Amino acid sequence: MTVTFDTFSHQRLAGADELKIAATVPPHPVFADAVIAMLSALSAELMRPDFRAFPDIAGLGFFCRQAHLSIMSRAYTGDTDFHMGRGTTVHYTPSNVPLNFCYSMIAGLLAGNSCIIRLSDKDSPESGRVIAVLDRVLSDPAFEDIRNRVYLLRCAPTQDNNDFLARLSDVRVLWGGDAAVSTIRQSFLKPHAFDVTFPDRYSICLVSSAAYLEEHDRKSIAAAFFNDTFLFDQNACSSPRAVIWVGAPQANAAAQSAFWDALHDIMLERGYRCPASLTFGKLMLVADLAVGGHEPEMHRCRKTGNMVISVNPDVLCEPSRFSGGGYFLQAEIGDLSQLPPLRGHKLQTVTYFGFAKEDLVSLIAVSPPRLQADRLVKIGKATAFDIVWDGYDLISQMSKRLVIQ
Amino acid sequence: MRAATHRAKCMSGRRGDNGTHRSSRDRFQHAEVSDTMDDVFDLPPFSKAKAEKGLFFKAAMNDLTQHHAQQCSQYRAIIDALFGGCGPASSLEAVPYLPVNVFKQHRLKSIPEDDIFKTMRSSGTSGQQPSQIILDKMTANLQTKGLTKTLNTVLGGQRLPMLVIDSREALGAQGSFSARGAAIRGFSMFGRKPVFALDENLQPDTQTIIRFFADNKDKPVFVFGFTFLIWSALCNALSQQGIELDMSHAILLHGGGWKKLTEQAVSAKVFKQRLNEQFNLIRIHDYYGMVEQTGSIYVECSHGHLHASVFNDVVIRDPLTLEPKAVGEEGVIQTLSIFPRSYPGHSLLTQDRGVLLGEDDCPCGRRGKYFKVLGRVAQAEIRGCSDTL
Repeated sequence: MTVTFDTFSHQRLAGADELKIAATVPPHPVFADAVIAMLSALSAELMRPDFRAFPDIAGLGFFCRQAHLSIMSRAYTGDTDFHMGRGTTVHYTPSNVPLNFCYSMIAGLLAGNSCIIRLSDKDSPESGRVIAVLDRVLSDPAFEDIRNRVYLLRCAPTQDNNDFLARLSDVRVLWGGDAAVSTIRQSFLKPHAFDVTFPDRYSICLVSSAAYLEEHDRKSIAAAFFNDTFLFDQNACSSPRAVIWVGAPQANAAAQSAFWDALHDIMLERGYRCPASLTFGKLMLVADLAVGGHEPEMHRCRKTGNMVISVNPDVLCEPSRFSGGGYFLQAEIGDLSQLPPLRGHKLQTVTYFGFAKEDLVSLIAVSPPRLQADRLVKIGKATAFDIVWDGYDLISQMSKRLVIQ
Repeated sequence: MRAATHRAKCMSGRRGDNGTHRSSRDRFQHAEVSDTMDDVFDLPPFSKAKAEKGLFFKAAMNDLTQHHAQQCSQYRAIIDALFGGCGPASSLEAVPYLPVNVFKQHRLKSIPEDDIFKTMRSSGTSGQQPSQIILDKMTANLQTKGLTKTLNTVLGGQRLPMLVIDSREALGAQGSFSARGAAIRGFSMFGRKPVFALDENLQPDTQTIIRFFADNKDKPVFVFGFTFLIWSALCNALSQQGIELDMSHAILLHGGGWKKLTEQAVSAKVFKQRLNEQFNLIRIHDYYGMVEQTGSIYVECSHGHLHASVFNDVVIRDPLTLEPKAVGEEGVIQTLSIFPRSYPGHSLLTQDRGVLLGEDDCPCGRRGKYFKVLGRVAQAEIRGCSDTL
């Protein structure tokens, strides 16, 4: 059955009074003052002491504070060009990165669009709190105009509903990996509209063993690596799933031992344990590697359940060998020229320690590239949201650049 | 940092088998175990207490680990990776194990292709890869002998008239194996002229059922079926139709798990009480077993406890640390059996949760460990970026 505004069965969570209002707002220029004012007010609310227990919420507040938005805006408003939103953006967002929906919405608003945000069914403590705050901020009469550009909802993931949302979209933003993207894409967009997709990705970490062994503050590195991985059960696309050690064999061995010990200490200190329900699957993956003749060597931390599996570098070229939930493949190479050919579209983030940026850029800026990744960031920055994500400049993607002569 | 054990990798002396490495100690172990294998069927299955069983069972496990490490290179590779080697274990808890799903993904065998007698396939849950279990004649014989010895303790050693609470269609075509079909075939050896109680829609064939009990009035009979079908197709359906049966002479053996009944809030206690009240049925035995260790079942005693025998044993492990759990602590079940020689399935980590209740001191008089199965390991929600839909 064809769904219409009147028959669309859904739950409104925040924003405009009716979906139809948000779906029919015309586009606006990027980084509009009114949007920045609303986001600044939201930032102030999210950075209140009440939310200190939720680092994700505080991080979101920090992201959308006025100073940061002003810096961001320079890239789009400083030239003589004129950037304009595309109209109605429809965002499909996951719940197990609880605040992803809000980052997606912020990008859509800053790009000059109205934002219809579909959240997945599962609630989290973080998303529930942020939705409540957002709804409160938007209800300020000063932000009525922005309120009418936002509509947060939950609805059943049926083709009929997806078809309906597709008809509203000028840009559709699809988070959630290959399966979600493929399913939602069966609902066709209007001819001028397009998708911004976030399919399955994986990430790795590169460590210079010699540099690591010289480092005195190994605890901070372990904490940074912990934040990159276990805030999301090592299951976010930006969480490293493999660590490549670069250096002489002895240095590699010493660095590995110290690194994992320090990580396990942090895990214990923070009371984090790997999800026990994944233990069996992790053992199965090691068994598969062994049957495949890869001679894996498993190191298992008995207290935390974390597993580190030493393999040959070639194994890292097969993303199906990776897992989350406390399962790290590790490989050793003598220097960066021995990096296994990690090509294709699957590699998202490379976190690194002990390398100069130029060393890594030289791996990318050769033909053919030795490394195809969308992000190179220092250890600790893997999950920090950036307006450029998976190689997309989200503002540019969701806006258009006018030619005025 | 290094995995659990520091046993020497079994790489050395494995290839070539030039005789120099196979020490007299190895041969002694083999001799000892094959003697034990013959002897073990002479033992009453629940006769051995901890001290005695421990020694012989550990020796049997070490022999099997060694045997499979020599005969199955994939097994050796997996155990090397997970446990750092396949040397002899110093205790039952130190016997290395495979995650049971390896038999769904890999065809593991410890015999030459020519010796294959039959391949058992079983799809546990629909849509899953079936397990492939490769048997030679010897292993198939061990399974049958072990199952016979174990079941004789509840069935009394004679072939009783048998009622199967299932449909004939559940057997499937010859050569196709479902878990239900395989179990029905296996257990039918222990009954005389099995009669099927359900039609193809899994509804009770009341005339057949009534005739079965009339023909065998006041005589012991063997009733077998899946726990859920006994509840839905026997208890519920017959009481709806107002049919009364006297099953006071019946011995019921049921298995297949409690998932569906737990969803309906039917506990083992409620289950038994109902059978008791509705049919006067007293002798009710749940069993725990799997196609990956066919013949090596754990049978429930009159006190509601599943018992290990001289043929098998369990270790309950912490699902995260994999450390052995003490009596009374929940964990995942590792199940060990002395039968698997043609495939490396003598020590398997399952995805079933269980709890050890005690050892050697069950009021029913059976020696050995006794335990309870608590269901499957729940798939907990984890964070990540992929639950959009």
